[in-house]
Order: sequence, then structure tokens, then C-alpha cells
Amino acid sequence: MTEVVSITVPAMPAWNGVVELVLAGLGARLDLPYDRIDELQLATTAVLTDAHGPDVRVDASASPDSVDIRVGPLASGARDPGRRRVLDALADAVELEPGDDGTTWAVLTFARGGAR
Amino acid sequence: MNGRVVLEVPAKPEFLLLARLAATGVGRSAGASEETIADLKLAVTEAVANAVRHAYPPDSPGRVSVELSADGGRLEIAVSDEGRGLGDAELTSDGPSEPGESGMGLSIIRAIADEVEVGAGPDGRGTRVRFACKL
Amino acid sequence: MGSNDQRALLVAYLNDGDVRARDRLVEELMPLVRSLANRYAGRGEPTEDLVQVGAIGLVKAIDRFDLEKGVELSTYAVPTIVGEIRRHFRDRTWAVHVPRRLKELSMRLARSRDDLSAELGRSPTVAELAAAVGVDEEEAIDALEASKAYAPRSLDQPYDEDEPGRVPGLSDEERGYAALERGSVVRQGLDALDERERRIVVLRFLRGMSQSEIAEEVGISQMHVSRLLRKSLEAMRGRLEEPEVPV
Repeated sequence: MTEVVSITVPAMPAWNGVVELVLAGLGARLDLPYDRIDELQLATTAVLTDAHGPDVRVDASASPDSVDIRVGPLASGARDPGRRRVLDALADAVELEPGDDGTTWAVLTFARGGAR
Repeated sequence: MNGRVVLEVPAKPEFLLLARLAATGVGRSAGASEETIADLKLAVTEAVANAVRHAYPPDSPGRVSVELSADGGRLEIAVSDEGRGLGDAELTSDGPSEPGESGMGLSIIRAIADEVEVGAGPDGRGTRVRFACKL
Repeated sequence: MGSNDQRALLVAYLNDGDVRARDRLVEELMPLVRSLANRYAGRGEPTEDLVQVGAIGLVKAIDRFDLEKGVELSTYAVPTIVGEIRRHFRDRTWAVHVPRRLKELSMRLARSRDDLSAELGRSPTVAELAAAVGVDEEEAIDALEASKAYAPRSLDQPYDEDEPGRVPGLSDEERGYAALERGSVVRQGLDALDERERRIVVLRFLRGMSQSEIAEEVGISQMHVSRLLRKSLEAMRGRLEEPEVPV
């Protein structure tokens, strides 16, 4: 059974710090090297700015091989190429899934076991 | 900085750290003093620890949710689980004569936070502990 | 000691002034004091100080105890014990010392991060950093996060902000950058950066070096690499979001 940590925050940059703190705690529990935690935080907060509603949720779970971060609901429509490039650089995989009501969720995967 | 944050984690001891970090983050975003943040972290710890200890049977762990709302000059917190509810004995601050951990936990929350309410969860099941801290 | 025995001691002290009865009660409830003191442990005050302060709270609670009310001493004493401990922190630590402590801790962590990276051949984990600096993981995380650009509280710059680092000449990766088509989106993004930021981005994403490896290569701290990387990605994203200008 995968254990999921969920945090929902207002979709405003001022609340990114709360998400980053929780991700740091998760990364600490998973014994990730700190620079990996840093980039996990960076990628997640980059996606947060694409939020659709007044609130946005981050679901984090871990398997032996990877940390998976799901963020949504996000605004659908044209993906910002710049942001996508940054995400592709930081995460090992970036997928977009449809959510309810025509929204989109991003799933970022980070391989465990050191930097790429 | 007004807003509402909800953290949901498995009701296990290793996730207590995340609840404390969320409380720290919200406290800082709301501009709370260090003293308030320390009280907030302690109260959240006690409430979540109670859920970890009592809410679920050992072989079927559930989840605990921590809602933190910054509103005007105060922070409102609600810690909820969907497990078995608290018995009447634990709801009063008097508690048993040898204070069990949850009896003491509630005493601590009452000592440092305002408007402490303990009752059933939102849909009648489980337990919800609410309290408020002035910024 | 049962509840009735405690009651007898309270009566002996409060009604008859028997101080030994009070001492016995204090001894009996010291585990409660220790338990409460432990909840405030690791915040920059020695636990033994907190225990002593808590014991004062216990004595006060015993002195104030109302025999008429049917409440247990242990429950009654909790707010007073906690109150004394909180007052201790308020007087000594919170108002003035916490931000300074966090900043000092942040600097020590930055140094440890680089020392440990050299030792381990990779960036250290939070557990390793916390152990090296002698704090618990939560405090380490708090200090590490506080020194980042996103933190609501902004600290003064860390110790290495003025480090120049080596500004490299043209190397393989620089040539790789130069070879990107002028009009390419990534090139536009990189144009938004200064030389050192560009080098760090190139090392990270074209050469795939880790932050700790880059820190060693360029000769600056890991924390500095992290800050420059964050800043660069923001700048790149900003540039890449602008509408494309026809070349």
C-alpha cells in the first residue's frame, strides 16, 4: 500500500513555503540527498503556478524507486513551453492526466538514488 | 496573510514531523510570533499524536487531517480522524487519575490554546479536535 | 501512589502546613514535569533547565490547589507547569534569539553541506546534516528552508555570497551552448542569465552534474549553487514566457 501525503494550499506564491517545508520533511524521511530535495521542491512549486482554482493540492507518495508528486487541479490549455522545459530538466518524468471537470493534473516522477 | 491549508497524512508516528512543519509554515506565512509558532506546533503535535495513538486499530491504520486557517488575528486549527471516537472519559479535561497520554495531551492543548472543542468528526464518525491560537 | 494518598498529602500540606507532604507530592509528580519539559526539548534550552523551571510550576500548582474542587492534581498542574516553561522561553529565547539562532544554524548547515559532500561524494541527507551540526531534523529543515528565496522570512546573505568562484574559459559545455541555434527557445532562456548562472545551468542540465559536483567544480558552496540555480530558472522561465521575437 502506497502511503500518500496530501497538502492543499491557496494557489498563491506566498504559500509555496508551506509546501516546500512539507516536501523537505518527506525528503528527510526518505533519506534523499539534499540537492534532490531542493529540485523536487523547485519542480513542484513551478507547477503550482499553473493552478486552476483558488486552491491547489499536492499528493506525494514514494516507492522504492521513485518519489511521485501529483499536483492539481491545473488550468488546461496551452502548456507554457518554458515551464515545461524547466520541469523536464528537473524531474525524471512529467505526465499530464485529466482530472474532473476538464481540469488537468501533473504527475512528476523523481527517481531515487542520486542525481541524474 | 489569510488562507487555509489542509494536510492529510497516514496516522503514524513518522508523519508527525510533517504536521509540525506545516504548522511552522502556516505560522510564518501568517506572521505569527515565534512563541505562537512554538505553542501551535506543540498543540498540533498533541492532537495528531492522540489520533496516531487511539484512532485506529494497529492492523488497519487510517489517516489524520490537519486544517490550519489563518484568519485576521488568529489561527484556527482542526485535527480530525475517521477512526473510533473518543470515549466520554477522555473528552473532559479531568481525565483519569493517572493521566494517560491523551488526557495529558488535551490538558496541554487546553493550557496553551483557546476555544478548545473536542467532538465527533465532520460526518459523525471519528474525532475532531479544534482550537485557536492568537497571532 | 493512589489518588487518595495524594489527596491526604495535599490536605496535610495545605491545611496543616506539612512541608514534607509537599516534598513528597513534588517527588511523585516529577515524571509529569519531565514529560512536559521533554515536549519543549531541543529548542536551544537545556532540558534540565526546563525541568527545573517546570518543577517551580508544579510547586506553584500545589500551593494554589483548591481542595474543594474535585480535580486531580496532575491534571490541574499541567497548565501551570507549561506556563512556567513557556515563560522561560519567552524571557530567554523567543523574542530575540530565534531568528539569530536560525541564521547561525543556517550558516553552519551550509558549511556542513559542503564538507559532507566532499566526504560522501554526494549531497548529504537531512539526517546527515542534522547529525553533523548537532540539531534534530526538524530544526535543520527549518533552518535550511529559511535560507531559501521563497521563505517569507528573509535572512541576511549566507557566508559565501561574495565568493567569486572561478569564471571559466570556453570549455566543451560552453561550446555546446554556443552551438545552440540562435533562435532556439533554450538559447533565449540562457541569454537571460549572466555568465556564471549560465555555466551552472549548462553544467546541471547539459552535462547532468549534481549540485554538489558543480559546487566543487566552480568553487562555490552548494547553497550558492542552489540559489543561483533557482534564480536562473526563474529568469529563464520569465524570458521563455515572453512572446517570441522574430529573429
